[in-house]
Amino acid sequence: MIRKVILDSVAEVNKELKSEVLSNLNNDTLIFENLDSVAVLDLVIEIENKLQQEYGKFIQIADETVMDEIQTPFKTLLSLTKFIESKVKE
Amino acid sequence: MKKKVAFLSNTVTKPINRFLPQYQCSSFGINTIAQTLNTSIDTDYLIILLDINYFASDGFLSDKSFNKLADLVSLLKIFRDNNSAKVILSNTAGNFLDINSSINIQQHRKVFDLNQQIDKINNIEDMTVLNIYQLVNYYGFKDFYNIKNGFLFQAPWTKVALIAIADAIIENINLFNNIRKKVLILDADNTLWGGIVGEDGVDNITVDENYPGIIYRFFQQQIKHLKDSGLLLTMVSKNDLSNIKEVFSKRNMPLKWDDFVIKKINWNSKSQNIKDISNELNVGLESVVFLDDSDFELEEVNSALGIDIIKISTNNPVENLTIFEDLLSIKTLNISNEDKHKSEQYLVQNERKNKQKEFTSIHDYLCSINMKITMFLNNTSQIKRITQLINKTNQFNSTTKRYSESEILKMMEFYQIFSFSLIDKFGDLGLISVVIVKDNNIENFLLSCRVLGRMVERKILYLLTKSNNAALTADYIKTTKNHQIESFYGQLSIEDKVDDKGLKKYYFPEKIDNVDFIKEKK
Repeated sequence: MIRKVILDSVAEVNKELKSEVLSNLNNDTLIFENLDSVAVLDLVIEIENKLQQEYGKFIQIADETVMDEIQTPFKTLLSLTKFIESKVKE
Repeated sequence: MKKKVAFLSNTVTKPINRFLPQYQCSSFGINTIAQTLNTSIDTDYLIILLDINYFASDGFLSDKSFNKLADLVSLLKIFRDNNSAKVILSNTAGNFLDINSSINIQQHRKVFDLNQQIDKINNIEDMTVLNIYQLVNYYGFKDFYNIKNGFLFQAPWTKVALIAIADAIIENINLFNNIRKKVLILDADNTLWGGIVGEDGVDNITVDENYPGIIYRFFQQQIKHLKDSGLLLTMVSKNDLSNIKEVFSKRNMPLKWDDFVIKKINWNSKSQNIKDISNELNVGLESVVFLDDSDFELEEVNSALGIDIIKISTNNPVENLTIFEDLLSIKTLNISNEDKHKSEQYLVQNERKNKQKEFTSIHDYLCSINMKITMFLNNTSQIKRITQLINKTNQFNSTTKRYSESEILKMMEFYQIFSFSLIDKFGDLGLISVVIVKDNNIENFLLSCRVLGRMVERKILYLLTKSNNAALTADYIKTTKNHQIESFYGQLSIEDKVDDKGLKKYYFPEKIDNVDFIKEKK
């Protein structure tokens, strides 16, 4: 479920970016590296919106690490999935 | 080529761009607000999107918030002078977090007062308000704002908000360029009330305080508001006149019989009745919208006239309450004083026409209606109506040169811009003519078509000659519609010349005969 939320959200944001890397995602695909800061923000907003639709409540996923090149949980599809799973469980 | 939209905001607006693919978007940070508004910007539309923190200190509004708004309005006026871009300024929704109810109420009052002040920018040419307050009320604060993202990224909008704001921006841009419909043509049975009066009887149609009658009352109230915003209401119904009259006299409804300027209640085809309405009101069929519950009638009208039609739901009348929400063609950014009284003006005009029939000559009639004309010079308080006349009048318009509000204000420093209002025994017709004069030359003379045929133009030329105490000249540029002014100038001038650019100049004598039956009002 969460993986689908992420894949759909990335696809939504990638409609404008048209990145080939982001259109063929696997666990190790580097997501953050292929997004500019506005696109990261777009992705945060998309994921939060889709999580709200799925779970019927607002789940905040953004924190101060999101835009941090080293700590960001948006590094790969795998790291992002784990991060969102932890947020959903909170 | 995409139109350009520039954002000026204290939030990050780039996420909105995704939902405005038809525009080329750019943004300016709020730190540069004075600099941005003081210069010329290469954009078609400037969207100033300010969340509460622009006006508030640490999230709360105070008296200083109003000073900040006053500063912003001053900057906008400077911007107006240097730019042709249209401006959309957001109002504010305030802080909905409930700290303490009395503080909250105080804050809401301040938000309301602040928004009332923001609303006044509608009076500045080519500026309008983006109603964020309404959007937040509609979607709810929690679905609209993400407080943490606001603090983290200066991006407080949820996806719901981004789409709603983008849609509202698109609607406002469209409204800047909208040619508004003028007339609503309404069916009666199953449209203004539930049921068929001829079959169910006047006491059994549903339009009352109970369900579903309450829905029809709400719908009528919406239509009444549209009338007050300048749309003319007319009725087309296949019915006996007595039945419909009985409904309006016996049933207590928001809409009254006199709210409809024309009623066509007969058994003729609806397309014929609509054509007659269009002729009687002297408006083109492209300016009318027809609402009916019957597919047969809608199809008959559509195939015969090709006008805009709207289907009224009888199975689920509550759907009808959202019809006008999405109907851009009846919306307007500004409602002028003139708009508010359009129906009354039409009815008075009709009374004039009926009275005219009682007289054997037009001269006798004109002498009987006590016309009084007032002349104004460079009157800035009339700027909206002067601009409207300059840009809307086609028939009696000597050069059809169009000017914006700011251009006219500037011209008032160097030109004589005369305006004329007229009253008669039936009522006040308001401002009906504008004449632009420079060095005793009439560069533009225009008269509202509502007063054509009353010899008002003669009186105006007499007053201008008297006021300037000199022989006047006048420019004329021919169009397909303005032949009336050519014959008027031709009758009174002593000479005319055409230059090599096609501009015709008329020369008038030093004295023009007075028109005695139109009195000058001091």
